[in-house]
Amino acid sequence: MREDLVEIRAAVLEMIARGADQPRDDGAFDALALRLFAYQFQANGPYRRFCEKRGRTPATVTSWLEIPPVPIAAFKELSLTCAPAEQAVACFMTSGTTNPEKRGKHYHFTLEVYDASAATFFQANVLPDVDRLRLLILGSPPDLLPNSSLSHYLGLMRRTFGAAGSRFYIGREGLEAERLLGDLRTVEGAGAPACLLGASFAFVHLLDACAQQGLHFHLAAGSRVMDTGGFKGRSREVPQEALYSLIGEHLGVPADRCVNMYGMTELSMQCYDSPLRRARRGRREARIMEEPPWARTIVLDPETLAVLPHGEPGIICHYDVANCSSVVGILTEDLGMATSEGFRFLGRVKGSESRGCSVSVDEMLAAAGKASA
Amino acid sequence: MTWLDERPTFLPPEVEAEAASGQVSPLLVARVAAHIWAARKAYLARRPVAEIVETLDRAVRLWLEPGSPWLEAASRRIAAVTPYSERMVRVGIARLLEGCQRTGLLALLEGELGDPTVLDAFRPRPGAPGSHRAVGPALTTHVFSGNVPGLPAVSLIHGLLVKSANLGKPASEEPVFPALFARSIAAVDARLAASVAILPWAGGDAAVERAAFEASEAVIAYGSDAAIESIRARVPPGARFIGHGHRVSVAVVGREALDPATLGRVAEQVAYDVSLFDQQGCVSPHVVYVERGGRITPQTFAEGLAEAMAAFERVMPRGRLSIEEASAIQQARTEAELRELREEPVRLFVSPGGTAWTVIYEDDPSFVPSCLNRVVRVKALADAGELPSVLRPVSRSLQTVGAAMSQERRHRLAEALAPLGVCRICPVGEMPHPSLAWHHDGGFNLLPLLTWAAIEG
Repeated sequence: MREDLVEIRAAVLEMIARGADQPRDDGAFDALALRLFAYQFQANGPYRRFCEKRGRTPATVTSWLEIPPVPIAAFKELSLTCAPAEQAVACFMTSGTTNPEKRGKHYHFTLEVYDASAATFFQANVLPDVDRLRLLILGSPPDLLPNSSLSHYLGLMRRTFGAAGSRFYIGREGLEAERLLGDLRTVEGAGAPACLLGASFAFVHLLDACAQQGLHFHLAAGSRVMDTGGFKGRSREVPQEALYSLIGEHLGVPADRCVNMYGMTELSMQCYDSPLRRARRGRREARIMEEPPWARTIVLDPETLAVLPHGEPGIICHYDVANCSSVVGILTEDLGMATSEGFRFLGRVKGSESRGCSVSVDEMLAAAGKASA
Repeated sequence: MTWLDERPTFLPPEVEAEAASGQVSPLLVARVAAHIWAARKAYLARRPVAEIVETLDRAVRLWLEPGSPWLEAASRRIAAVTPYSERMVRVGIARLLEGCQRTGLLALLEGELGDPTVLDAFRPRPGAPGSHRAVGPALTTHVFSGNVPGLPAVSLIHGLLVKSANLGKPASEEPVFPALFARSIAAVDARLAASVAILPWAGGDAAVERAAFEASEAVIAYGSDAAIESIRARVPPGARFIGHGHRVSVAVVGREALDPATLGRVAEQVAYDVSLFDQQGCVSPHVVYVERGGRITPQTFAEGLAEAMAAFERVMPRGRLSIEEASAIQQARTEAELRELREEPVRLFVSPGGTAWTVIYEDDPSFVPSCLNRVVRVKALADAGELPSVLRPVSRSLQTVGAAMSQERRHRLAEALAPLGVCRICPVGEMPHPSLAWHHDGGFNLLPLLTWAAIEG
């Protein structure tokens, strides 16, 4: 007899409500992940066939590690939902940078779980010491990008944690640099702490504008920065350390108050590399990503898809019980390495370089693009 | 010095000590070039071409005699530094060098020059008045790639046949073969080999390459399109440039070859073409087109090919892959599997427990390049006559078409494919082994290196 989704959702919400710092309970996570798998297996036709081909069914799977993770490419090809798509309250879509025709779609039938998951872990990692802060958001508002999970996330944080004056600075015309620089002057003058958050590439544009105009802000103590998402060709590529050094130079926010967020359209949780949270817990490790207690991140051997020991690079795979209505396990196209403290993101997996005079897919597509251009 | 010396260099003794000190400098390159240039002038340039053929034939036969220590050393060392297995390297090099014996060398010379002695003296040419003499470059620089071990031999042979001094830069991923091959020539005729130098430097080192190219009358390069373009732009005007960049190949199986009795053999031949050198060669097929209307269907052929891929893997295992390469295979498999789940006409056959081989069957005939390392698509065609239109979008990159069909249909297909730039049509099972006389990538091998002089009246 299948369990009702409502009951599973309630159990997931209960786990999230126990907070970011709850003791890691592998037994409870396993039980919840297996309940979710059984539900998704019966409610989601394409996913069931995917699992059956691997001989994995609720009858044979005895641990969350045996639940087949779905490659993110599947979100482009298949309708991975447990209910009719037209009943969804939100459909988050990937940017489709490589092929705009094929964007991954993640349907949500309630945002209650997504929002609880996102807000709880955001607070623990970005605002562990304050309830509200002025948020200067280097992102687009959700009404401008209704299919962007990042815009929804940023809107949620503005609603939930934003003090007076919190606003978005990317509009239809791109980054409103002058307005942002003006507001930074006001914030600096008032001596009140603020939080700048948004896309990493937008920070590069802001910092370039500061450099051009020779601007050096000294934001009040307690100010902080959260960036996410890399550059994807929308600005020059800046290594993380260099980005935080520029932020220190032009905004006056030191690197130990710079948080990096790792999120994906296909997930309902985010991971953080947060010196703020580590300091609060009395820990001072080097930069490391951590997933919330309602998720598990592992690294797989690309050759066999077996779990790799800590310290060995491979493909990042997430299990997220907040993904109630899609699939609990996601196989990314990200390179990473697990450690005892969390995981390190090592970049996107690129198409393989061919060794000689033959040709790789990427190069061929590039050549075809050039030929037609 | 022993003949089977492990060093990746083969240099004039006068500069050995200097080179051993480490970093390759432009000055060292200039000194090496001066030595091999002088050695060529004093000896190689005065040898009759027939004698050079004999020397090369004897050197090549050192590699082919049973239990050859040369072949043994090369395959062991290459397997240690590349992803390839020792057995695969041995088979590949042996097959390649078999074609470089006297018969192959003479066929190459006669095919391109008619009378090879135009390299020795002024000779009459049929249909042309006066007498004619062909002169090769005083010095040729070769930039090798590492994807097909053994291939540098062919390039060095081209240079030596036209009596050029040869400076070779081995690929960083396969620094073994070129120096060993040069040493085998030295074992036969040290004075002739004195006009050859093999010197590894960091590819793209502008100052070093400027020194090499400035000393050269010809530059031959193998590699990615980007690498070829970068080199082409830096070869000084007046020097000749021959670049072998990216190419792709396909196989086609005609309905006459689609019989239950012959399926095993044809599938085995295609699996060999795909698997040798892990599909890294420009001669390796990305797609196998299979005609409908035979006694077995294209999909059944795909199943048979999967079995043959598995059997080949047991004999010559696929090499080690990087994370990116393994991950590219997983992504290609996922993509096919998802289309299978959407009930599109796609079937996926994979090696169990790893990425050793992958066969993807699909109805859609459009050409899709492989991510390589033994990932091959089988695609259905109503008739082989459709192949030219299917391949037209990638015609700029096409090279070899391996065809399992009757002689007569193979000729007809070749007629239709030649205008697309397909420069070699061969039987399946032979794709990795072009003849030495083949017009590599559609051009001559020796003629572009030569300058002609004529005496009139």
